[in-house]
Amino acid sequence: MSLINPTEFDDLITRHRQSSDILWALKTWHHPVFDNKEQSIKSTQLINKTTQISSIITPVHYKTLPRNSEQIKFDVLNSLAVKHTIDSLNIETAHGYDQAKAITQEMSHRLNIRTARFLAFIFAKIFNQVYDNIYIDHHGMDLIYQMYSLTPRNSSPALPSSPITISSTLFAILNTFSRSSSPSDDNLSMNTLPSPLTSKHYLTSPRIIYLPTHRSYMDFIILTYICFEYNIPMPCIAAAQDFLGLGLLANLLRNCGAFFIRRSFRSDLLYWTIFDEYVKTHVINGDYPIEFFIEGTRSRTLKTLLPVRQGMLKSCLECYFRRQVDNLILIPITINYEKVLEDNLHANELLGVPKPKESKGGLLKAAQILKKSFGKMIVRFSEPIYVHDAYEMFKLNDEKRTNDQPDAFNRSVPRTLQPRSICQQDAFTDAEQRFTDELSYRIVNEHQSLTVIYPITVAAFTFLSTSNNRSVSIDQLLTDKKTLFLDNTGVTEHFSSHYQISWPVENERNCLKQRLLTIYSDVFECTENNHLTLKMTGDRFVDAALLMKLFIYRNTCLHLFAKPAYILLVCQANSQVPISHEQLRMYYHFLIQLFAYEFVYDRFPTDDLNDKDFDQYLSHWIKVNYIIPLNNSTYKVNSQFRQQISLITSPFEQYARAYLLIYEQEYPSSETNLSLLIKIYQKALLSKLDTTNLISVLASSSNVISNALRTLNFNTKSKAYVDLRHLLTNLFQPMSTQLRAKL
Amino acid sequence: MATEGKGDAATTGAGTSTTIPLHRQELLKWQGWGYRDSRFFINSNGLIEFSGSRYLLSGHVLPRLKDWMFSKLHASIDNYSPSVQEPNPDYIPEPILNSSFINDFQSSLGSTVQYSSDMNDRLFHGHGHTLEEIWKLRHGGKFDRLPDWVVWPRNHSDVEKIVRLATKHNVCLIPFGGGTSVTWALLCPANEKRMIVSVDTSQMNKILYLDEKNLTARIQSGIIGQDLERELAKKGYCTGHEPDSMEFSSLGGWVATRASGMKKNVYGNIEDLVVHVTMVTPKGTIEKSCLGPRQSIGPDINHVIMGSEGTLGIVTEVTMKIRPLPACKKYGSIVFPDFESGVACLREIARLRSAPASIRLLDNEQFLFGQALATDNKGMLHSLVDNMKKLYITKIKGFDVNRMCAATLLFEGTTNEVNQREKFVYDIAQKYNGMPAGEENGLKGYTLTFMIAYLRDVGLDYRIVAESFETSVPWDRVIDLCRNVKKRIITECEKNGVKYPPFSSCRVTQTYDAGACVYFYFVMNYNDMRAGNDPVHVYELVEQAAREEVLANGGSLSHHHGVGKIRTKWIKQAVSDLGVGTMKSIKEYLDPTNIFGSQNLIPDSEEPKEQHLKAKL
Repeated sequence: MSLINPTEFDDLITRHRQSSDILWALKTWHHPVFDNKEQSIKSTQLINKTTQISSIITPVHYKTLPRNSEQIKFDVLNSLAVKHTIDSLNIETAHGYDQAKAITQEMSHRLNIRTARFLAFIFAKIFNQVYDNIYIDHHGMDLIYQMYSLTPRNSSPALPSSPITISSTLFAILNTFSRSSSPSDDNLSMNTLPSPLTSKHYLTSPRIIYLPTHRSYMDFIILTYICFEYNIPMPCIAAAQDFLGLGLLANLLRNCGAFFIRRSFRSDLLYWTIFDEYVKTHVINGDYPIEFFIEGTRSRTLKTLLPVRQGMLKSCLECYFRRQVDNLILIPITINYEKVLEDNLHANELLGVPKPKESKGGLLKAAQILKKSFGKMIVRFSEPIYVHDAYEMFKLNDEKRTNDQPDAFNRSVPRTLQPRSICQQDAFTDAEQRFTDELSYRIVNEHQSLTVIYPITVAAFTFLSTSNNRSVSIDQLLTDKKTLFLDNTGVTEHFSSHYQISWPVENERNCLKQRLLTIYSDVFECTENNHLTLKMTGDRFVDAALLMKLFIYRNTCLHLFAKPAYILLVCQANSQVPISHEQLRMYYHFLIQLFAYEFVYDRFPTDDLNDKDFDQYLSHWIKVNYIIPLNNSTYKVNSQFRQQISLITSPFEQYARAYLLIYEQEYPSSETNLSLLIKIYQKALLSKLDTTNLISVLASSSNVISNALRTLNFNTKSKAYVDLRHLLTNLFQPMSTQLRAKL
Repeated sequence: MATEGKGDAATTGAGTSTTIPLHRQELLKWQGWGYRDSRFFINSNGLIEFSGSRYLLSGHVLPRLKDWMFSKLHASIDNYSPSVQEPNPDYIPEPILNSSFINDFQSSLGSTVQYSSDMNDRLFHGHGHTLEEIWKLRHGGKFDRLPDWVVWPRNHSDVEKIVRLATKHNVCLIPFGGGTSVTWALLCPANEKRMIVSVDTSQMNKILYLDEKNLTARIQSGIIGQDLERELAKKGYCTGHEPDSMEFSSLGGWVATRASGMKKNVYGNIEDLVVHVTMVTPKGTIEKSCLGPRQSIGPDINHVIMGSEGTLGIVTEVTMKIRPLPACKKYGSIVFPDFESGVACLREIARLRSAPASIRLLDNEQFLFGQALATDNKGMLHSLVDNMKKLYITKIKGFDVNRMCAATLLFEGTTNEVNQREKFVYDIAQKYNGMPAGEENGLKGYTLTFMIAYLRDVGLDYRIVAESFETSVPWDRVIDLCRNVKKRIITECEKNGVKYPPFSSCRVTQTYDAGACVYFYFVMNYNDMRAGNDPVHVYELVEQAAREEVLANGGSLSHHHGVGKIRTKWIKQAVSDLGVGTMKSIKEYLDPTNIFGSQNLIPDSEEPKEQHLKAKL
């Protein structure tokens, strides 16, 4: 663990507050790859002539890049894939094309620099207002610059290190005139031998795919904003179609590169083809990078979600598998909010208050938020994943793993035999599918490893560690922070050596108090002798929402503790009798499987009972003396550290008990639709909601219910239901009576 | 024991004059490509010159080539790395001799069939022309295994006798035609413990008869391309089969590797040209009994023989189609603004089935390289004209020098046909922004074909390694494959610590209805490489990565070079397990005791895949 070091980051807010937003929005902006093209009159004639011949070989000519949205739509509609699908669907061709046209119309983005400038201006104003700092990771940005063969920023003239003022802008304009013949030569000049990859014409822009975390609406804007700031191509963003309800704003988003896709469309072949082709044309021609959210939806719980939405990723990867591009660069990005814009909404939604329909009115209401402070935003880029290298590595490992002879009668059609221009839904071979799974887990794992811990997380941990903890002293926070993040770096860093913590350095107590009180004024209030108190109202639902908010902020760091804490939890639950190594391992794996949907690891848990990390975690806990090994390999918790241990295990115990509570409900076996089932459960649980019982609050969260039920599904229904309940009760039996009384 | 048997004095029958002598090293370089008297060297003026008098370029200075080498590849005159002059006898492995075979041979064939166990003959017959092999020769490296004997049969019945003896005494035979293999096919397996005899077919070089009614010729398999064409031309015929190696490669070798000739659009590839073929296997002689032009008699036995790469037997005689010499032969060239237009134009020409005898599309790198190969400056006026042309193309037509590429064309047929075809092709080219660029450039392009292999030797002198490889690929993948493979070569070099950017280039050399043949060139300067990296090893890693990339892009394992030993590890992937099993069972039937033990084509399942590679290093 390390403290956030501001020198490793650029602070956009500080930079912008010193300069004019309007001039910034009007600054020169180059496309680093396409703008240096020679465009003599004759060569434009050549282009036009070339594009007129709809060539059999390359549908898009490099000279027409980057295309505008109309051209992209045209290319998609005229692609062989769409033609093939319309032919195969047996609909009348003209009618089919009308449908296709309507779909592309609805889907397509209209990315243009004018709107981007406008939004850049607006959001510069907003961001300066609501955020204290927006930190952008230097190193990640440098890597992206390298991909575009630009010199790193600190020496690049394109980015002013000094604030933008009128005189500097004038100077820049004069400068462009004086060297208009070669506007960006100095951008490309390299101090070492130029690699042909960067100097040669035939090699075009890098195929970059940005994969940010999705926690807030802000995620849609922020990356485009950063790209504008740093003069790199702005991405096309995949957004869900519900956002079309925003009307004018949806159009603004569209003009900023958002394209809208339906939530589920696998059965609609025409739609699927157009979507697939639309994504692919961007990747293949490389005129715009692509941005999408691998978790598929905003994570209301601020926890990382399973990477279930593979459609986008698969479309992109297929371009590589077909070798229409030679490589893809995936850049997972973690956007860490100190305070999420819509945390109230999230909390309410989890408690069953329906998500408000996306509307303009809602946004106006949201205008009030301008008055609040949302603290810091820290954007961190992970090391780019080069798909080619990753796939080579995967194939190597895969060869070792599968030694068995393939079934000679059950071949999967190799890529080299598949038609390239036809869109096939099940074209992925087994190995490719496994690679996609592995890759998507790797991406969310990268996300998790770049987490930033804010003070609120520690506060939430402390407040929620026991029920009825309504008031906590600042000193308690400091102690808990030490227990969580300093004493046990051994285990948490084993998961991720990259996570960082944002914590005041000087005048710790005061700053911490001030920060929590100002940013989360709706949650905390200050009482005498430096105690923070929760603003409980007495209204059941309002209080539950407040607690839920604490739950979700605590969630941001739980992945760090999950696996090691399971060991502690098992030992603690059996504190009366020592537990054998065998049993410990059994319960450890049981918990991993139980929380398969709750906490995401590097891969989806399987039946394989050999977690490689188990021994390491166990030996860590023994080393720090939390667990005492007894003879004949049994273990026992050290009662000396009872407090620390229960702090660490408290979230997981609460989740386990919440699961137990859910499993104890009547199981309406008639209902098979998961979302309806969740509603039924939630209704039942909400009716018994008791804000003094944290577990009752947690169990009412639709997310927890859904995960608990999915675990059941994963463990093949009814039998498992009894089993899980049995094991859970078994685990907590010794303490359950006394604990239940306490909670 | 005699080291050399003399055999019959009458080696030249039926009037065939042979270019290649019995002891090849007397005429050909033992550690490089081609004739001893022809090579590139830096002359007293510090310019690169081509010696000898055999080629169009011979005796000419190439003033721009050195600059190109030094600026583009960052070579330098100080990094001179000459080859060893004579093979070192210490590095020649001791022969394994099978005395009962030798006794039997000497008593039954010794008076008629020439043989040798001379060190130089053995060395010459123990390698082909891949970079690894040439590198080893130049640096005096040791081959683990060389042929222990070389024999020169004169006709089919000599071969039958030799194979019979070999089978009787369990001796390993490796057929040797022209020795131009680039697939490690001639390397002796390191684990071969039997005596290895190289069967050199160079004395089987007669045209047995011409059948002018059917336009076929019965030819012995050892004849090399240039002799065959020369002899046929005397009678007013040609085969039209012109692989780039035709100066040295043999008919038997073409059949055994499924060779392709540059003029295949008019004359066809070897499988189209062969009417009948005879092969001697350890079980006896295999051939069809009919000269009918097409037969429906089960899987074609000719196709079992073609592409067998010396693993089943020795091809002895071939009946081949011949054609009257064309009345008219015309070169041509087209420049395109970019590679994409060029490929699109070739595709269109192929679609209309109107390709000239040969059409090749060079990419931009090769186009620029071609400029560097221009011969002596021809005076002011010429260069003025050249400059005007350049200005016209770049300024008025809007071509970008760093993108444009060129196609070279060769038309053959009656004068009328040629003129018509020429106009047709140029009209199509115009649609794709192509501009005719003159006959002279076309001719130059084709003469350079024979120079490329010589160029590698001068490169090696200045610490530059080079290799080429080929593939065939469906039309829709051509552009992606070219770009991706070229790019992979560059990235792979960077990854392996090669300091200077490599030259990575390709050309489309053949067009078919459903695809094209693509040829890649890869040139790498290995100076100042990351410490501890062996250049040959790095080179191999790059080549492997490039081949993997070719396969992933839907390219074939080989278009005409064959599999040899260099590519056996991919053969399963290429033809499926059952495909390999089928080949294996044919091999087991025809050659149960593995007399033809070159271990080409079919991977040896018992040993690990990397064995061959390890043995090489």
